[in-house]
Amino acid sequence: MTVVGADAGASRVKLVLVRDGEVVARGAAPCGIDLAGTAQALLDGLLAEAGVPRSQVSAIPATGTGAEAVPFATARVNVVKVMARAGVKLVPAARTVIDVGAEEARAVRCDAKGSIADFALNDKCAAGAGSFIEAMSRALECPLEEMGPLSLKAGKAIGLTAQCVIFAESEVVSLIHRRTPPEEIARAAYDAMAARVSGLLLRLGAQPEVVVVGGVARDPGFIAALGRKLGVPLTVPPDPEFAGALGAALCAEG
Amino acid sequence: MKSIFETRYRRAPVRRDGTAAAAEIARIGRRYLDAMRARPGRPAAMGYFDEIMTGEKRLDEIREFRRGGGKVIGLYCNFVPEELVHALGALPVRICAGASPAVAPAEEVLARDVCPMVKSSFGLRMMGLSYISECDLVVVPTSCDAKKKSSRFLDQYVPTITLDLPQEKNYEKNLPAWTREIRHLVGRLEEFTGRKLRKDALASAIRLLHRRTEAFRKLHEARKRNPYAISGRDALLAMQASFHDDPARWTAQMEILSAELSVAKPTVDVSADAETSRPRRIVLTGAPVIWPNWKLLHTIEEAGAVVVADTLCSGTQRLFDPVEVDEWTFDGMLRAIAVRHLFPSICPCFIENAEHIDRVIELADEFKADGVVYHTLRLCQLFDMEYNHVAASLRDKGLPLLGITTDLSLEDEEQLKTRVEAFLEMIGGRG
Amino acid sequence: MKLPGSITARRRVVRGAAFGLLVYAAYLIPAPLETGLLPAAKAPPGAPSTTRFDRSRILWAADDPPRIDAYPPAAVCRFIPKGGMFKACVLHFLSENLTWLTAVRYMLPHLLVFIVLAFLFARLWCGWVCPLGCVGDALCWLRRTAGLDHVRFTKDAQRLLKAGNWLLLGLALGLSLLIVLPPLEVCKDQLFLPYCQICPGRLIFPLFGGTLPNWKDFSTPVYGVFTVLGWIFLALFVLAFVTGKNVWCRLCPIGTFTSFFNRGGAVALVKDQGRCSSCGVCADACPVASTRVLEDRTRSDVSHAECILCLRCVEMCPKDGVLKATLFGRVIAASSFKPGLGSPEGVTP
Repeated sequence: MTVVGADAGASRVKLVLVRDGEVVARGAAPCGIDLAGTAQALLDGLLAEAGVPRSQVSAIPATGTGAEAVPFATARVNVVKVMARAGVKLVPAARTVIDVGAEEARAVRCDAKGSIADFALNDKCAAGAGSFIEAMSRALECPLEEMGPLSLKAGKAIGLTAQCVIFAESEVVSLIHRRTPPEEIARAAYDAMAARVSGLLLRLGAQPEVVVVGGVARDPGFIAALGRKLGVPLTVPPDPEFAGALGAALCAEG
Repeated sequence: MKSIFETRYRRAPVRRDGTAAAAEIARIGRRYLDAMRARPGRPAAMGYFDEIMTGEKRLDEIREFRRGGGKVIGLYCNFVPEELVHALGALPVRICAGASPAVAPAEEVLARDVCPMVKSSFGLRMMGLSYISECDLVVVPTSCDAKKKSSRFLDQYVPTITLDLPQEKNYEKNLPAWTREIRHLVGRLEEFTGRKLRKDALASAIRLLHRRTEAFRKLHEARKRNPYAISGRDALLAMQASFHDDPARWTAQMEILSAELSVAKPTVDVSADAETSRPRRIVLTGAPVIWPNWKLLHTIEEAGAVVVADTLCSGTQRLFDPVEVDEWTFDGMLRAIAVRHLFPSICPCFIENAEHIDRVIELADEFKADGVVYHTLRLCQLFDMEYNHVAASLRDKGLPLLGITTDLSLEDEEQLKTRVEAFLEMIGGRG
Repeated sequence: MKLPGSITARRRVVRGAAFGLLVYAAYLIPAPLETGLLPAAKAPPGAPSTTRFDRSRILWAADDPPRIDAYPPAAVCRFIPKGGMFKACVLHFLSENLTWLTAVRYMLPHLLVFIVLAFLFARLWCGWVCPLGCVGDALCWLRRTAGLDHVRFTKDAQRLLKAGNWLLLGLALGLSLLIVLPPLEVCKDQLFLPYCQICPGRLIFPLFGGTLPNWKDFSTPVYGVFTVLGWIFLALFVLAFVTGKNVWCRLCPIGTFTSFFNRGGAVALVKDQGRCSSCGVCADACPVASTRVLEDRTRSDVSHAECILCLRCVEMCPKDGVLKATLFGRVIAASSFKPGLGSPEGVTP
């Protein structure tokens, strides 16, 4: 069975082409103002690349905040459900899956089959999600992909007191003026973000193995900070950004 | 009648135009009602309750009543005895509100960080909309900070008096004071209506509302049915019609609804994979859900579950407990009324509220529930603070619980959907 | 308006019939029933005995012997004219035999009968049989007919009543034991059966037999004191029942003996804690002003000593099956939601 899974997040739309349970092709693009158009173009490109005609695709389940806007979606799947399914598919021993996206952070505890045991969401505050680091990278004038490696160079940890992205930005500016080394500021930003995300696991409990997926999982700075905060080893599967789309595809197969 | 508030610093009431808000409120309600009507197997008897809740008929009747010299007395909560109002020939209306468009005007006069329900109610009065704007007098029990403080400002629009509610429900300690407070209320209502409370009228009023409870209990029993006979959205709409409907007529219509439910065929096809595909049965507890704020109910039931039971003060808790009179003397009746309007309450405004947990567990058991949804209205400190305690106690009993904090705005519908779907997924049903 | 079949209606019928049987037994059963099982204790030579008092003395009792020489757990009375169904109440029994220092082998069978009856039915005897309570009920009816509210006693007042009860009991039994010793033995006749002398039963029951009680005896100072105390207790009795439903039953020393069997006996008052709404109706309805059923939120057996098992709480509780009365574990009464008028109008114990 050939299925396309779609994950329309707050920042990017991701697609994976899955044949008989294995990922054959994947593609991602920023949503832009025309999510439907972007998604359609992405789908066309993906199918062309894989040499699979549209008619061969039996289902296209979509997840994520923009799922309703994906024009070719055949079904909508809950975003927590897909996380759990993708988590155990990518890492069979996964029992806790953390998904950090551009604007939301989610954590789910699951069983070996990927059924949800419990979950926690933070979709109200961007300070525990990817856009926080984007704001910090702007303030530090450091390219987003270099923020992580920069933070790993920090010699010591400092604290960021601001709770909110907006206030954090101005706090970072004042730190810069005080000549604080940028690597320490970067690390502080990741620490603050990790603190928010780890808050999700306070009640939930981090049952090993703990897997981190989502776009932000590619960031070594964040993973290091989260690992420090939770005190447990973290597993980041390859292509973590596509976990949502993979999970959606898996749900089509039942 | 002389105001209970001072004349110093009196301000003119701030009014706002309500045309746009009224249209928006109607649109919000219509959207939810359309979804409810679209459900196959919806009882025909719900048509009456739809009309009462969304039509103009009842408001017209109340205006007519007032034109004839009748007095309408608005009240919050389940602490103000409607029996007293009926016995004095006046009409009680519950003024709790769930209209999102009414919140913004209220924030101009009250404050931003105030219970959404109180803001909505206040805003409706500012705009001259809904039942609160047809009140000649409002009685506010001092149950929580938001509503008791708002009474001071509501008095600018309509004469408002307070009812001093005890902080605890101790029979020996609090009942005497509460009974005195009820008697004091009687005096004020007599002064306002210009009538004396008579024993026979009081007995009639008690019987009238007892019959209302009897009819409600039939609906309550019908909701136990598995597969479900009536959706939570419908049941709560019918219950809420009692906020302002004529009690005798409401009772009669509720009897008709219950009769229809008793012969109704199951609404869901009971097939081989019934256990996995059947709608999950949910107990809803927490802060009041007032029409047209059917957002949470809509989300839960559109995701494929059904709210079979509730502990809402705007729902079951309002109608379940009757006034039971030990001795039908005047004092005996007043005391029975006082007892009923204090002890069965599970409002978190009481410092000890273990009965809240009792009720959830009892309903989950009796209604064969799969899970519980705990609804907190944002900024309600009382329900918010009880959440962890209730959640832990329910977890001990093995009852899955989903906590939802939301307000009246419609912005977070997607986020609600995500949580509710994940929860239903978790408790085993296909959401 | 009474609903037929309600618990209180049935209880009134049972108690009325019991009253008739207990008070007028001698009219229904011509001769005493000799069982041969219960030995009659006899007064030692020189000891006071009610049969030795003449009609003008306070302690003159009935002419006729009772039909059954036994002491059940209710306020059956030595002073029922023409003898009643039973001999007397258990307090009379203890008082008399303590004065006589009767051998245990004579007392034991009677005590066993009492214990078995009390174990089986506990204070159902109080709520469903007691003839004194029946009289009190009639007084209560006067208040209700006049439309007057009843007085509810606070917990402090209840504690005071209970203390008074124990004091009374202690004095009555203590005095009974001591009157054969000097210096009291001088007036042992006058101090005989101290509680009987003040009990309202002494003054009330003869009236039901068409005889005037010895309401006034000032022949000696001691009798004079007891006469006045008797008036005071009668006044208390009347006042208690007229103003306060069954608050007298908290004070009654006879009921105290039966109350020991409320917990652990065959009868139990059972509450389904998980389903109770704590609505408070049971506390409001309770004629002895007990709030135990409402306030006990942990145990399933909420039987307690003060309860006269009138089962009004079970009758009034508006939730099906939350309150039950059981006999050897079998349900004999259960609460239910009562459609209709609400609750039986005007029906109170």
